[in-house]
Amino acid sequence: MLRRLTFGLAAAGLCAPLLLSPGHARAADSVDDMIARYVAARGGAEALNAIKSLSITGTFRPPGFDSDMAYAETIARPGKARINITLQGLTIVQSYDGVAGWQVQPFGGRKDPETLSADDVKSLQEEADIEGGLVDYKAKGNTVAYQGLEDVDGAPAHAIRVGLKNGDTQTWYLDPDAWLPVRVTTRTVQRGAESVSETDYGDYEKVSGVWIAFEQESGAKGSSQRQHLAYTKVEVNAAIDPNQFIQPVTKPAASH
Amino acid sequence: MFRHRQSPLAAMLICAVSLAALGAAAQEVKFTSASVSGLGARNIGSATMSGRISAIAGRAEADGRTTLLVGAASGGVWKSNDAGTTFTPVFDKQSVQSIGTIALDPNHPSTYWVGTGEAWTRNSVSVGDGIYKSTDGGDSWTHMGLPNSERVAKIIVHPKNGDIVYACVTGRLWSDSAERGLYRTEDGGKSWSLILKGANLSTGCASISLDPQNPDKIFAALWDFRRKGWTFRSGGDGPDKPSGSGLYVSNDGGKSWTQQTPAANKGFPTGPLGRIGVTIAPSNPNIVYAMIESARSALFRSDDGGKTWAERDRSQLMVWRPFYFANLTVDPKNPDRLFKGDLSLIASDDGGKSFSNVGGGTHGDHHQLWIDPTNTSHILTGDDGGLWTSWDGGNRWNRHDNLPVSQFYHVSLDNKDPYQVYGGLQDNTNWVGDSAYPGGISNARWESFMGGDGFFVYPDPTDPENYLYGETQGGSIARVNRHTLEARDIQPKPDKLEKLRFNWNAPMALSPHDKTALYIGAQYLYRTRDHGQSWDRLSPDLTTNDPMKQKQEESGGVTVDNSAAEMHTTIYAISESPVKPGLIWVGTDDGNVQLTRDDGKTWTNLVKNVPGLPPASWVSWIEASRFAEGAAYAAFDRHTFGDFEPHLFRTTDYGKTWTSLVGAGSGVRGYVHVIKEDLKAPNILYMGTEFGLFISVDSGAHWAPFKGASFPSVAVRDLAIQPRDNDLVMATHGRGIWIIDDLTPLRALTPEVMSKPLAILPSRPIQQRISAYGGWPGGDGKFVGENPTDGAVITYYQPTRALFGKLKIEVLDSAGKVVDTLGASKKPGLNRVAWSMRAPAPKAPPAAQVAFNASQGPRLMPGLYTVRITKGDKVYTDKLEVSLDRRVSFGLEDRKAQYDAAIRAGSVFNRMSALVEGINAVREGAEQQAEKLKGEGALKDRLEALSARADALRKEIVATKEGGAITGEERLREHLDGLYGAINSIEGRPSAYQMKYLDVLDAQLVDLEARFSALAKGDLARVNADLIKAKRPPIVLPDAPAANTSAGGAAAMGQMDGWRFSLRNISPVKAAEMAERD
Repeated sequence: MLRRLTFGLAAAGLCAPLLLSPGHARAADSVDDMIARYVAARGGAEALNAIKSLSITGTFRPPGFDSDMAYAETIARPGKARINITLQGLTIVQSYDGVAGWQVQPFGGRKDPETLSADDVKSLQEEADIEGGLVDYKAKGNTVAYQGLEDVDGAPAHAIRVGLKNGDTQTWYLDPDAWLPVRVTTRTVQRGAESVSETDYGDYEKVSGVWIAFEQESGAKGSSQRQHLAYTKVEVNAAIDPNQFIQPVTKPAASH
Repeated sequence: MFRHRQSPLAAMLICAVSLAALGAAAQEVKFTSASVSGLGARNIGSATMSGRISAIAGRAEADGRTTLLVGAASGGVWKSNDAGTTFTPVFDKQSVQSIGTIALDPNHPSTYWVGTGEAWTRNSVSVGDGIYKSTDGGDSWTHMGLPNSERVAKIIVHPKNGDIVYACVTGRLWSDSAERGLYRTEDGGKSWSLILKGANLSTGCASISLDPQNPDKIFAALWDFRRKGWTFRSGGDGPDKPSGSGLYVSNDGGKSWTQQTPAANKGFPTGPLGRIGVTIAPSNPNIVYAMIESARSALFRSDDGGKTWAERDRSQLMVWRPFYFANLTVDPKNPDRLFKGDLSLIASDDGGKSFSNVGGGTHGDHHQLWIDPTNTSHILTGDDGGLWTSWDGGNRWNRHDNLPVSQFYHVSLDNKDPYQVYGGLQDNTNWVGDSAYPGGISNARWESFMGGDGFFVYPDPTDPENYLYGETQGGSIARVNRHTLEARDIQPKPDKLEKLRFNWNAPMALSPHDKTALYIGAQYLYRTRDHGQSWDRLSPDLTTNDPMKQKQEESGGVTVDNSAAEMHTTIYAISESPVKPGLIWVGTDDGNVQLTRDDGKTWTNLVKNVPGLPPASWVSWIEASRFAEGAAYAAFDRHTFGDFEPHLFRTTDYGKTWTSLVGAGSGVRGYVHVIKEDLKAPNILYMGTEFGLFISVDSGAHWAPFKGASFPSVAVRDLAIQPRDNDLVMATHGRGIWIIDDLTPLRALTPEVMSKPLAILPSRPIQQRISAYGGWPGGDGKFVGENPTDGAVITYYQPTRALFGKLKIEVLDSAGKVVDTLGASKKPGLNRVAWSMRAPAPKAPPAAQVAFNASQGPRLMPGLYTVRITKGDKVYTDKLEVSLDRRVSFGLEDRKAQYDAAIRAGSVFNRMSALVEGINAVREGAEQQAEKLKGEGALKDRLEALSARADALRKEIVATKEGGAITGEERLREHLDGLYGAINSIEGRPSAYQMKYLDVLDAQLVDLEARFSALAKGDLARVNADLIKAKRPPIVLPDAPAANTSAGGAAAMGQMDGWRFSLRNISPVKAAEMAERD
């Protein structure tokens, strides 16, 4: 199961004189100021807003797996996302068309699409938010709160809590210098049961003026089992098939 | 009014310590938590014995679920949303882990309160640092003040106003303090008022209860108590002040109070009073119960709201150890039904007149109970053995096997492979568990020996497979047969009219020189060399022998309580020099540091040489250096005097002089339990304190707190290093056993390394550990400890986070070919990445389902590999030597045979994929061309026939029945997948019949390749010729197998030769021409 490939955010700080630098939060910074810093760090609102779609290819290695699988993802405004992962010619699909989600899980012999439950679709909803739940959080129906400087792997990071409209809660940990996320944890509730995942970000590269994390490691919080996702190519506003997000009515043609 | 302080979160953040003085590094080096935490750690529990539970709060949710918050005595707060099926620790980032109480705001479901510092004041109790609040369901916590309270017995949130909260602060155990009594906040904890204060600085709040119908009516019990290293007092008068113990009532929300007295309240007992537990029956607030410790301790009941009282039950379990058991819980619906946690759990159905033992199969020593108000048959109790649930009103109990809050005192290791871990725990005896096991270290992988409280336990060095030495409280030691479990008492016995003084946690030590030698300390040092058949007394009384500290028979306060817990003037630490036999260090709980250099003939007390050390400081640990004969480390624990600071010293001259290693600004938190030298690097020290593990790489000049794997601020009581595997094993008192795998990279963490942009660090010898299947589904409610990775661990250091640009890790074989590319960890400090040592998976052809065995590549051959890390434009390399698992019975030739067989099977897969790719090209190409031809016609028919023939061939190779059912359809691909999996699962030489079967499958594929070749040269060529004549594009065969999706895949699968049928590299046009010639 894929999860949490989102992008960045921002926040403010205290503590450590050694760490103070122009990039750090000022005492009077509000959470909105911090989000503005995050937006600026990502490349600015204009560059972010200019992204209408992202077409991503890369490799994906689940925990305990020794080889990479082919990975492809398309994200399009408003709020659509599709992920394809291919092994032995069989392609897992998870998609969200802005209203509903569906998937194809062919490894066990079925290639017809299955409708995702409202709980299962939440991660795709979050995936479909190109700039993440911090940006324009009010308009998206989210709430934010600054949690202070927290320790992430022994180094401080600004923590901003985002209560998402879909009921999930994310905590974005922003590097105090770069104002880009180093980690996002997501607490989700599925059928009343909570689970918490975390994704670490790295290899930020600039694409069309926006910094995008080309490497992501994620897994259940507290577990050493991690899946690894590496982008090899990210295209902004490439031509995409808008129908790819919609659940097919009939069984798709065999992929082999 | 007391304003709360700044959140201690700021203090938790590990601000960099500048180590400009570190060695000769020209560049400034920062040694921080990040520097060492990347080593990671794994918790192996166990939850089978679990540990003391000190707080339970619950709520029946509207949707039928039950939310629970459980506080461990020294293992943090655990939350469950499913009535305890699963738990998540939610307090691990906070600065203390000792929990006194938890309260849920009845009107704000996401608001929780935690009072830190357990109020069950046994000798081994930890400490808290105030009150915390979460408003987001436990995701984050804010410190709400009272930082010097040390322990909080109870928090109650006003039933109608969440801003009004009462905190029953018990206060400091070991010293006087002003921050104790009953506090009230009216602003959600921003400020607190002390509304009921004790008469002296040793009196705090022990219990409160609010009338749920009239919340301004409050009962509060004050308790005058004090513990010292050698005595305990529950109630009664202090040494210079009259007792402050008593029961009080307020009818105005705490503005004014009235003390309950025999004169004013008929039936109330006379003093001296001790601990009191009071509770109002929720369903009838006129009924009030109080367990009152006095000269005639008993349960009392008032039926008029506290105006008068009547004595009820005073059976043994009602009044047993009142300082430790004083909680009453009344059924929310039935005022005559109440429980008291005690040595066992007891319950009354007649208003306290009589009680039955309802502890059933629980561990015992119950401290907390929660009754579901919506279903009073649903009850949870917490005792010294963890958490238990009853669904029948408190008669029969289910254990929760998912709370690894076990409280280890000590740990030792053996040399099995994997090694086993030995340790003793608070009230949970001695255990042995696996450090690794296929499928994870389940609770069942732990085995107990003996009984009582467990402490030191060692496998007998002379016969480790069959015997071990185990210890229970007060120096009771036994030699235990590991098979029959019989335990033979071998405790030294006193001479005539003599009393041996063994500490509660008496030291037992092995000799580093003599496998037969075992030491134990009373006030004398003893040694046996014959498994305890006889003992030699090696010393005179090494303690101060202060008679004022030997009055344990008077200990307890109002109620005598003379277990071995207060035994004092005893030996507490023993360490024989690994460098020189007969050089033995001994530390005592009353402050002596003794040394003999002649195997006990003469002893010298050296404590006077320790600079600045207050007298009588408890020697918590002595560690003779393994590198220098005259060197040793001594830790002093002064928390029994109310001093929680670390005190650690080193001598290099046999104790003539000592140097402090934890001066001001060291960053070390908490009193020191243990100090260990690294086995190989004299500059590396590991220190366990009440608040965690601290590591120094410069002989104690600087320390970094270890926070790997979110390791909490839990007490680290003991440490052991496995010499073969170089693992550091931590015995925590509250969170079980944690293991830091392979310390080797830490030994290379020099200032020079830390000043580099990146450095690859060495690791222990890498083995290809046996892959095996173990364990069995035990449900979601079972703790399973984590195994070490079975990959090759690559460790590197970088001073800062790598956020920008590629950080690429590649592994190259001895020929310089890249065999794998790994995702890199980006953390500051040490990073670890595991390489599976496997070649990419073979390419299996598409079919109805995934060929799961073929999704894993064969493990590469042992040998010398190169790690290459590219960061920006810099490249770093290091060697990686991979060997066989030392346990395997086969050799490299066998392994090579297995590897070659797997590669060959993989190669067959790859050829099969190429074949199916070619077949699909024909099948789909013909089908598509036929669809484009309108109407009936010969060419269309031939195209359809060609497609059908190709598809028939395909169906001989791969399973094609879709639908997700168990089709049982096995074709060549599925047969090969089974064989490939069998070869890959065992790395010894494959059997002859496996190899023969591989020949069979290979031959089948050759036959199919030939048939497809014939099809291509025949029907396909003819159809293509007709297509060309019809000016249509011919059906094109792929001219080479598609590249493996994995980088380096084809290279690793050396024999993956792809196309083998005869049309290889022949274009369709050329094929059509050939067909025409035929």
